[in-house]
Amino acid sequence: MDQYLIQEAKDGKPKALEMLYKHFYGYAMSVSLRYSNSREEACEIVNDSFMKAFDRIHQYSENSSFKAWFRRIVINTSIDYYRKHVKHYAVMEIEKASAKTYDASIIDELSKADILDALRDLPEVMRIIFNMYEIEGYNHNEIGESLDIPASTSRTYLARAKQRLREKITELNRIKDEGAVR
Amino acid sequence: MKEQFDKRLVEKIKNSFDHHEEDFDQVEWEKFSHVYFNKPAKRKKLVLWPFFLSAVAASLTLLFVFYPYEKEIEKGVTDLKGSIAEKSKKLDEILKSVEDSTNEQGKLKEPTIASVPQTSVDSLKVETTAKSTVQRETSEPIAMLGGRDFKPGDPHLPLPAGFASGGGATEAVSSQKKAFNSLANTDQADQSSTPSMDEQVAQQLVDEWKEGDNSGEEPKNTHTIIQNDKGLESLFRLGIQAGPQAASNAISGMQLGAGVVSEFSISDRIKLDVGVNYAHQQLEPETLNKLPESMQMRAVSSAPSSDYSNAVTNDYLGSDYSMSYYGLDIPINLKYKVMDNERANVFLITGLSSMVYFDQKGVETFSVASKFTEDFTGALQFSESIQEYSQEYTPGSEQSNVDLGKMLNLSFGYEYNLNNGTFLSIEPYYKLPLGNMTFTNQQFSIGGVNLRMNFQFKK
Repeated sequence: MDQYLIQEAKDGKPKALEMLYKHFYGYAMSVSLRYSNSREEACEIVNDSFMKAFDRIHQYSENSSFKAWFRRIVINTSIDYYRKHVKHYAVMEIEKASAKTYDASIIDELSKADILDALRDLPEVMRIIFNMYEIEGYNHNEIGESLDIPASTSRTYLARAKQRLREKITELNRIKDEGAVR
Repeated sequence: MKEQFDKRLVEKIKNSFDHHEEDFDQVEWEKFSHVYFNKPAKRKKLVLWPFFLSAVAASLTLLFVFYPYEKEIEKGVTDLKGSIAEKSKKLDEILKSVEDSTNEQGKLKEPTIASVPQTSVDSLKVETTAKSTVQRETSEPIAMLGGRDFKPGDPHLPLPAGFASGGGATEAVSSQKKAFNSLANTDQADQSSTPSMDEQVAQQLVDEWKEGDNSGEEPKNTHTIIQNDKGLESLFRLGIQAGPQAASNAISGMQLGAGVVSEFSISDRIKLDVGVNYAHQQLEPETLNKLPESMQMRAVSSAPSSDYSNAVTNDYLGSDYSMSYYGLDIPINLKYKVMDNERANVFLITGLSSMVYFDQKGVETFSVASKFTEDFTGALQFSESIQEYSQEYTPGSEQSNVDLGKMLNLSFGYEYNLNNGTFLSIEPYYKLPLGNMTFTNQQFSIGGVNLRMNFQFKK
């Protein structure tokens, strides 16, 4: 089905492009939401990604998975978006060392919205590094090249991102508990 | 502990999002399809290359092939013309000589003369010729005499009629020799085969001699040098120019324009300027209703009359537009010299400019009011903010990158002669639009000052 659609899309058939858009929109959104600051920004990234994908669809080799190819486009577009708007976001502050203990069991209670909220609470560069390293499987050298930062900086940012996530999730859990008590 | 927490968090995220897909949003598709399917096609850059390459090739040909051989080409043409005229004259002389000799043969047909040896007849004829103003075909050509040593006061000096006698002959000998020599050098072979010279040719020699005396005068001042040089100057000047310029409603302020320009002299006072200038402008469109349809879609679709569009873009506040281009300005101007001083001239200049655009771009910056944001629980929270987005537009394949004669040039120039065929001039100018220009259909004027250096080539 996908291959037929892609072939039709390569021929420039508008209906095929529409079908591809509708077919992969939800998937693209689920990826871009983790990289973006807001849903609107995620929509913009997704639309930009589809633009790129449709313009370069002739470069796609049918031997590989379209989904994986398109996912890479979405991630790269998210990184481009960050680069384009990097000057608009505040530089992160220096993190304080923390010796708190964290209860891993609270993670099971997290909803998707909680996770997205926690991720969006991160400075953009940390969010991207966390996603690229932990979810997509890039190494620090690759991340450094993508973001024009040293690999060591990527490592530092990842550590800080994790620390922030721990704090945010703990806080979310505390608020939920307080709400339940009331 | 931390590591375990992190590991579980990553797994949770992966599990949550690996198979998760957001719901399809029809509105997003409408927005996307509107932009994607109305996206202007990429410009065909190669279309401009033939023009550019042709212009470069023509300029190089002119510079390296024509100019080095310009003198030779012109000399060849002049020689050819002279040769044709001379041959024609010689033909007339021969015909006349034949006619004369036919008449003389009637007189010479006497029995006593017929018995005289040929050499005696020849010497007799030479004497007769010296006394007569008409040269006969048996006499020695006058040009050949130029090679001999003439003595002042020699009674046998074959001077032209009206000049042979009198005191002026002594001073004129050297000039006369020069004139004779020049004739002999012009075509000695022809001269030797043409044994006679009539009065008309002799008069021509005198005229030439007189002219020779006049040209021998010393130059009196610089102006005279310039006047004399004028005859040798080419009717073509090649120049370079550069200067600041600004368009009306410019966003980016002053820009630097530069290029090459050729000046062709039509008459002493009227010149034709043809040039190519590279320029960049960034300006704000004046007449928004003339913008291309694709740039107005957002504003149109947000109008209250359209319920459907309203649903899509009900938070659209408005758009700001700007346009920019990189391109070539090709002016064709007539220059009229209103003041002609020894070293400086003042010109009035007017003409038309055509524009060739390399990179036209329209940018729409639109504002959207966002009244709600999601809080950490995912619930919508009232928080009003204004967000700005930018959209770039470029001309479609059906839209031209050329505006022919769409600007009226008004200018004046002050030109100073730096000697050695170099002229420096300063030309303030103002270009008025004669129609809609660029793919955004805008009318804008451009003002600036060109500093120009012209080089005149010698013939």
